Order: sequence, then structure tokens, then C-alpha cells
Amino acid sequence: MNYPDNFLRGISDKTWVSDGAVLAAAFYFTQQNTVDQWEQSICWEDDDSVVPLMKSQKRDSEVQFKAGIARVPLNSINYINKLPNYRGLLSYERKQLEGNPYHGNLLLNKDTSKQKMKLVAAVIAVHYSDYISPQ
Amino acid sequence: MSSNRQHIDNTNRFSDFQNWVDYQQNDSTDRFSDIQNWADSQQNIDSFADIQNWICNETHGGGFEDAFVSNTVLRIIDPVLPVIKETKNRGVADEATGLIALIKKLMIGLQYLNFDIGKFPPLNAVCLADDSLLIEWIFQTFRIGFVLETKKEESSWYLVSTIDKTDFNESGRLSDIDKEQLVRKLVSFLISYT
Repeated sequence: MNYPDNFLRGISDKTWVSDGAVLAAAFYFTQQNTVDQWEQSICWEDDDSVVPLMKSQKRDSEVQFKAGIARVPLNSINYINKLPNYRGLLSYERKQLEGNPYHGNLLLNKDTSKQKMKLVAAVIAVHYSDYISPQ
Repeated sequence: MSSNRQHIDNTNRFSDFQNWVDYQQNDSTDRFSDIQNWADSQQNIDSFADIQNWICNETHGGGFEDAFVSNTVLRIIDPVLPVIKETKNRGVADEATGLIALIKKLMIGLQYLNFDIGKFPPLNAVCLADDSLLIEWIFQTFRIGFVLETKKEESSWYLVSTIDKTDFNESGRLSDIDKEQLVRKLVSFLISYT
């Protein structure tokens, strides 16, 4: 499977961004998939059309990512995954949705504690490279 | 007389703190272990308590009245206060209030020591769906976080960074550590790297 250099994390809650800084809460893993892995919805930045698509994405007739988008280099995830305290915890996948062929997930091992999940999110947060405002 | 002596003693201790910070700024290679070593070496001095005592003395025992706190400190602290106020869980709110009070005291002390805290960004806080509270201090290459959970024994802290392109992460449970020492250690780190 081919992956681009970056993925994008849409931010739906305005309290997760402060003065252009994205809080770790934006990277929390809050859903579990069918095999109980924790997952975090992302979009793979395959080309220049992904950001406009995400900006226009709606949920319940409202712009979904009203707090903006964070760009994260994929090599950061690969790097984190090799650090002693996080070795092998993270993986990722493509999972296309109707109308969004770029959709995918960051995955976290199912046995990860809530405390550890929040720490992993903070480590990802310190690596994001850009914040894209919703305007 | 005793007041003068107290002042001289504290001045020496503050000089020690300043010298240590100057050293850290000139030689940033050993980072956190140096901070820990320094903190360990201060066991008989306890600069944080000294700063606090000194401020109380200077205010004739008046403690930390808001009128005494500079706008610079308020700019750092104030953004989290409404969020704490909105926190549903009383235990989480109390734990957050205690932590913020520690950070505030240390900021006041640092300002008295002529540290430039004006470049510190404001603290951020957010209530989460599980009724926990995240307090995060976000700098360009590192961030300090406190995750306050409804089960107090699960509350945690972290320092994550990409300084010098080498990841450096520390974390732990808040229930396992003296919070004053922790906050002092974390603030010492950010003094060295801002």
C-alpha cells in the first residue's frame, strides 16, 4: 500500500485549537474498530484536492472541521513507533468512504490504556507540522 | 533584623537558582537529568518554598492576592480559569485549581527573580467527553500536559518534546509524585528551553 508524506487530521471542536496551536485532545483515539483497535479518523494527503475536500465536508448540515486541520508527517508516526515506550503501538490504514477516497485511520493497539492513549496523542501532537485554518 | 537576614539568605538562594539557569542556557546537552540532579541537590534549600515564603514576607503575610499578580502572570494563567469553572466533576476541578495555583506561585516567583516570563504562552485547558480535563502548555518544540481524570489516581502529567530533533518524553501519574516538585521541575525545563 502506498502512502503519501503527510496525513491530515480534521478538528471538529473549536476548544481543541488555541491561537493556532492544536491541543493533544485533537489526536485522541476515541473509537474502536471491529477488532477492538483504537482508531483515529484521518485523510491521506495524496494530492492538493484533499484539503479543500475536508474543508467542505459537512456533518448534520454544518462544516465538520470547523476548527481547522492539522497536517502530520507520516514519518513522525513511523518514528514514534520505534521509540522504546511506544514501539509497535501505532499502525495506519486506508479506508475509503463514499465521497472521500482519501479517508483512512491511525490505529492504536487495543490493549493500550486510556492514560497511554492520551500520552501517545500528545506525542503525535508535538509532531504536527502545520495548522490549516478552516477559512 | 531577622527580616534583613531572611532577605539576604533568600537572595543567595535566588542567585544559586539564577546561576543554575544560566548554566542550563549555556549548556543544554544534559537537559532533564541535570534538572533532576539540581532539584535533588536543593533538598535542603527548597527554592520553590523560599520563593513562596519570600513573597509572603514581602507582602507582610498577605499571600497571593490578585492585586499583587502582574498582567503577565494573569495572561498565562487566566485562560484556563473559565474552563476549570465549567468542569462538571468537582474532584477534577479541585485538582486543576491546585495545579494552577502552584504554577501561578512559581510564575510570580520567577518574575521577582527577573526571569522574562513574558515569552511564555498562555496555558490551555479543555474539558473532555469523559469529564476529564486536559491542561496543556504548548511551546514550539515541546509541550507540558496535565490530564486530570475523574478517578484521581489515574491523573497524569507529561512532557513531550522534539528538541534538537531527538524525542524526549517524560510522563507519570500525578498521584505518585510531589506536585510542587513536579511543577518546579517542569518550569525549570521550560526556562532552559524558551
